[in-house]
Amino acid sequence: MENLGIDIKLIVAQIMSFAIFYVVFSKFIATPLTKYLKAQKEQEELKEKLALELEERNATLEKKDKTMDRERKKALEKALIQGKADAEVVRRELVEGAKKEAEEIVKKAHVQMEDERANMYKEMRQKIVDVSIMMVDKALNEYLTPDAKKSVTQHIISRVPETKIEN
Amino acid sequence: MNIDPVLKEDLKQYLLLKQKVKQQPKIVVKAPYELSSADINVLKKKIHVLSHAEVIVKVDTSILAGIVIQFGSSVIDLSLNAELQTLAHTLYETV
Repeated sequence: MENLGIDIKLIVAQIMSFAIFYVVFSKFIATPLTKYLKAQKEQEELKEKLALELEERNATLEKKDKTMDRERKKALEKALIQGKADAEVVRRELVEGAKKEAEEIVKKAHVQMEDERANMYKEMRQKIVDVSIMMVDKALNEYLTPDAKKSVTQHIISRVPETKIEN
Repeated sequence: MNIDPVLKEDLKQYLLLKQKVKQQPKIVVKAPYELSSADINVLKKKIHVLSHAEVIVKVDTSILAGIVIQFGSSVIDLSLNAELQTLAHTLYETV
């Protein structure tokens, strides 16, 4: 064996050192590394799972958000339409009220104008009559001389009808 | 107590006269000038009550022409003033 160049001792020593290396490697390096890799893998799987779950949740939330948004928009539109309708009713009522009030005011003003016009005409008539009578009175005062007064009086006396007055 | 018959008779006559005067109504006739007795006579003929009453003639210069007869609370206005008043009333109602 020695002639063949094989050193048994060296081979045994190498086998022993390999065995020791194998034991040390498998016990102190391979096992923790495997555990570490396994834990890493599990963590990765958990992460992926969580990511999927999160994505699903996000999708659900987004869907809910969209649904709520749509509902909110619908409610807003409905409220807007209702508000517009209410405002229209109020506007119509206000316009009708204002029209009625304006008509009443115009009516009253017409009546007042008519009254004032009638009063004015009445006053004018009275003034015309007063002035006419005053003019006639003044004219008669100026025209009737004492003789004329006497003549008129005698004429009146002559035209007095026969009258019987009881005591 | 004896009263003198003459005095008694005078008193009687006075009271009778007073009663007669008292019974006669007083009628006031107003005119713008002093009415003559002829005018009064014409009036007495037309208005009979004047012949049985004491007629008091008064001058009222506010009367334009004509006469106003006052008899108690009654007034017969036959003046131009009354005619003017009637005209004024007619105008008030018709104009």
